[in-house]
Amino acid sequence: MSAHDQPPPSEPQPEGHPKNRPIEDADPMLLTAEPVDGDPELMLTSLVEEFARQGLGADHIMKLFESPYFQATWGLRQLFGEEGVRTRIEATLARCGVMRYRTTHGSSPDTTGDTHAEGP
Amino acid sequence: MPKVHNWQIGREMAYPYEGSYPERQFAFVFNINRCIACQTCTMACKSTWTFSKGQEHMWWNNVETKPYGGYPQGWDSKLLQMLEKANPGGQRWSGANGPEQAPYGEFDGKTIFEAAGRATDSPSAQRVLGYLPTDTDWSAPNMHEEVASGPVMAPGEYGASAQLPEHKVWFFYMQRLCNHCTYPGCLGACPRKAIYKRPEDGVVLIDQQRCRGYRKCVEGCPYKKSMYRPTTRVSEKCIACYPRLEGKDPELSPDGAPLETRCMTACVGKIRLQGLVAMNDSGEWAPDPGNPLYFLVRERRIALPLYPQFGTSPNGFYIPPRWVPRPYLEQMFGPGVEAAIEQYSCPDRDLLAVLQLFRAQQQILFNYKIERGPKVAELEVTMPDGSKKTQEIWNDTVVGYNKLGKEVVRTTVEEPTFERLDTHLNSI
Repeated sequence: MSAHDQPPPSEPQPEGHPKNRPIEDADPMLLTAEPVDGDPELMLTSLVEEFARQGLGADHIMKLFESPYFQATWGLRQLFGEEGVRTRIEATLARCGVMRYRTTHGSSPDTTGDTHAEGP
Repeated sequence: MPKVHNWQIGREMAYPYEGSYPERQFAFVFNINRCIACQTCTMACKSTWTFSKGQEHMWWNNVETKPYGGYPQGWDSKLLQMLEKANPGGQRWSGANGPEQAPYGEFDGKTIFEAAGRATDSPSAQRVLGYLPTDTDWSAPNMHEEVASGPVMAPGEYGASAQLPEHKVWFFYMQRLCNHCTYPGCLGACPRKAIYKRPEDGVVLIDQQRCRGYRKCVEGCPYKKSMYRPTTRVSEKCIACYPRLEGKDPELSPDGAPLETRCMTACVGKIRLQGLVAMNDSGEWAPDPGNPLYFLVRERRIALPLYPQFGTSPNGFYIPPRWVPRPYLEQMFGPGVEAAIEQYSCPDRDLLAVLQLFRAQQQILFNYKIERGPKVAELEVTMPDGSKKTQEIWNDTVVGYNKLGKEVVRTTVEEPTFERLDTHLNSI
């Protein structure tokens, strides 16, 4: 037996398997979080309505659900599935439509005197 | 301690100094409903102000995920716990939706200034209740906040066994920066009087010459937006991009009109609106009906302060997310949540018009007007309780003006479009 196999005698050893030992106050494995009730369906509907209010059409909105880098939308896609999300987007847009805006910048540094339409 | 009036908690409160108010106050409104945490704001700030050695942990602007996390980790839950310990069961509001002087009702509990003397576990905070985050707390923004992600593996596929279950509940993104509070906790806690509010715009700054790096400001800021820099041994914080506020950028602002900060102008999701609101002698916003921020915060009360019960009178306001359980939001934004969401879910014509000013251009808007048009549509929208309501759409135009009274943006709401469903493609 090598020296590495034998722990130093000064270190106390847990009894049995770690999962069986009592949880200590400072135990890093202690679960401190708890779920909070919520409604992912309402979250999805609200987000889609929000994007539609900004002028995004169905395809634009669907793209936001396709990237794992956008966790809010990606998480909903994981929950409802691609078809489930698409169906819900279409149903929401059929109800509330896609808003359109026309913005003209005056002497703003962004652009000068241009006009562009937003939305599909 | 002197007494000051805090309109956000609807009463007088103790503060280490007499009230002293700027001519105008830096303020902002964030629409949480629209944020997808692209972090463009975060990087715009980082690449402008905190890219040097010793600033690695400094994210003056950050976007965190609620309810899971925060930066530094647990900044709000830790302080809420301390307040509860200092005033068990007493952190309550009464009289929601009160008059102009107390729009969210009255907070009956203790603020961080009032609870400081009662705290038993914070002996170092004499004037302000707070705590000093550990190095671990500062170690990583977004730690544990979002689950690991990647391609979905089929059962038996290489890598599939390593997948973990993901959260299947709601969450939302929280955009945070210094609130440039009317009664800053950092200022109240500083033993060197190195922190001050600028009289012209209310921006809170740390005098780098006077600061000795005691970190009392880090401890005293409830939002943990004052940060210690080990390389210079003094603290630093958001400066509200004050050269831009002063209109001193010769390229972007040749006529001297104030510009929004870097984080505001970088927002691709158009969730941000920033302004400089007029103040009166009692620390309240002076009536200014033409100012879009005044309209959203004071007139409509649709944008709410973050943890008003802390007592610092923060000048950052949030339109709360529609899908989040109300008790959680009420703890975070006070009792005005339900009324704010009710209005926002089905905005009337004025509100819809003003919402189009968010991130419409780079200059700070001091005024707006609405040119009325005919009604063009009626839409069905989802209300907070899941019911449906009809929203009227008007062909209105909102016009924004800068400090010099010059028109800088004009947005017209037009008739919405509808995509025909596949099932009805040939129905005409």
